[in-house]
Amino acid sequence: MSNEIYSLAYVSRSELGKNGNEDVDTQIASILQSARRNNRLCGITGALLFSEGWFAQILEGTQEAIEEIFETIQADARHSNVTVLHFHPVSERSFPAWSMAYAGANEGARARAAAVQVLPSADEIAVQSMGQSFLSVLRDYIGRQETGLGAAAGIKTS
Amino acid sequence: MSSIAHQDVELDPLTKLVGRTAFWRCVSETLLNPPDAADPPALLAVDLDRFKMVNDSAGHETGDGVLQRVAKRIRGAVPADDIVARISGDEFAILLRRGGGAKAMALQLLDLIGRPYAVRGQIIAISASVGVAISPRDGVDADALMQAANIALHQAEVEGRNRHKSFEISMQDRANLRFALERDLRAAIALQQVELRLAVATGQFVLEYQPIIHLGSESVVGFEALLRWQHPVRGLVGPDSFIPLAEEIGVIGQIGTWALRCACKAAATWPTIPRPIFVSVNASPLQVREGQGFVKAVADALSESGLAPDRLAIEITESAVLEDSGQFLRTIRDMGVALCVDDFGTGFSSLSQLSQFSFDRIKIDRSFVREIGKPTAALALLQNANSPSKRSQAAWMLRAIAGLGSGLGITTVAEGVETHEQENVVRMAGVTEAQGFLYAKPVAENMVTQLVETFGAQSRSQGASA
Repeated sequence: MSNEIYSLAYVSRSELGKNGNEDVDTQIASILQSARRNNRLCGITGALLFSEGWFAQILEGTQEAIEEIFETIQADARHSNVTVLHFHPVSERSFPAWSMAYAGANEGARARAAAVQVLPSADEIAVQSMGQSFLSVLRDYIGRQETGLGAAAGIKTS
Repeated sequence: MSSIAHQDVELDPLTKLVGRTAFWRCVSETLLNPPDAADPPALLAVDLDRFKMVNDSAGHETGDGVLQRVAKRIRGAVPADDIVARISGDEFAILLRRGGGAKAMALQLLDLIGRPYAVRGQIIAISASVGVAISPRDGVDADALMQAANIALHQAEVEGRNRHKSFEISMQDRANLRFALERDLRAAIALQQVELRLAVATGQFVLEYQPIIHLGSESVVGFEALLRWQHPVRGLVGPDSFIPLAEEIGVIGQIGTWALRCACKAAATWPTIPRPIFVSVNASPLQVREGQGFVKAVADALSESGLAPDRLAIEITESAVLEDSGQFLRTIRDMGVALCVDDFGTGFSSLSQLSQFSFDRIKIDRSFVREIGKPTAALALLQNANSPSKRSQAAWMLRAIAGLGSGLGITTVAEGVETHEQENVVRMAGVTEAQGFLYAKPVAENMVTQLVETFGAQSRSQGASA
């Protein structure tokens, strides 16, 4: 297997808080912990953005490592409707580390994210050059999806 | 824990799952000794939808990578003391020793298998179909239960794939009917081959011939050969009931070859004056896919019968054209045989493909002709200038296809012409030829010459009176 670095990005729907009694903050903390550990072991860097309803993740690493971690991610029941945005080789890593940030609009959730050591905003993710624009694409995507969800919720309560 | 853990079972080297034989043994033992009488075992049969396409387009190594991942995803979702097996290429089976959650498991597997795969630098998307059978209701032993799960799986595939179906008794009835039809069809094909060898009429297949009329001269230019299956007990079986089955069980080539030989033999005896009458024979996309075998069948039929190649036309659907990667259709046309696109307007042919394949005939799908003369009074009241009725759309399509044909130098044929009104619209649109009940129903072989003469006499007398 070559040492070429690949980048894979996907978006998915969050199933957090839908099954079981475990609260969302605990689940977020557990995702952060296991992802940090696993990604460090296999040399994966990138960023995971989440909101109340959505996940968006960029992964960088060798093809083998990405394909392996991607299978683990697919087996995870905490999300669904995975759409891959890209999977291709890149000339260099855009993310020096792996980090996870809250990208929703809820101020309370932002504060709680900080409490479980998740970055309170995508702006705090360490990123270089090319990564910046893609990160903002993902942030916008989550923002738009959340607005859509918000409107639907508004109809329900009115 | 089932015996599988104790025995030295050989695992599939690719997926590390048990194979068919070990699975069958496991199901048998579990059914004899279910762990929980209140929650009896269930079987799930899983088939990946159109997996061949993954192998064909991404390569076998990628296909194998997907199979490994599918196996792992299934294994990860199924409880550890239940059994997951790879039955064949892209078929898996699961034995749930406590079957209560079988339906939920089916849904979970559809979700998991349907998620994307990252394999060898590519993203692959597939789906699956699942059949569920619960013991003892759907089967008391391994054979019956596996058969029930497979019948349910087949039903899920028939209903459009990417879904699960639980076994129902009515599916069994349908499967039995299909099985009986398959048995009769195979018998009919065997008889037909005896007939060909011994030149005796024992066969159940017959060809009927429907004339194709040139709209300018109102004379017969050719006949389409139509396959009929006359079964001694079933009676006349329509092509729609047995052609798909023949394709599915892989005997369409034999039937198609017989039809070619029979049609060429008949056409060799037809009149050649004032002009040679041609015969048009339908070929299934699966026949065309046989490539060299199909080319040989056409060549053999011509040489055996002595029919001039330009008196044979092969009718193929648009999808068959798209599948002909080996350019076998071109080879057939180079032999002098005419090529005819059937049911044109329903598929996805593009203009560039039409000119690229150099067809001789376009048969316009009957659905366009059918719209002409339909009672549209109610529609006309509702319609406004911006929403043309289906009827005027149909007439417009006929004009467009006729124009396309004359531009490319291709003869156009309107099928299913039943009324004079339809004939008029077709003629006004510029379509060259027509076929339908207005002229004649399909007739037996011995009626062909007479029919040609009748039309010849008609057009001569009309010519004289004009």
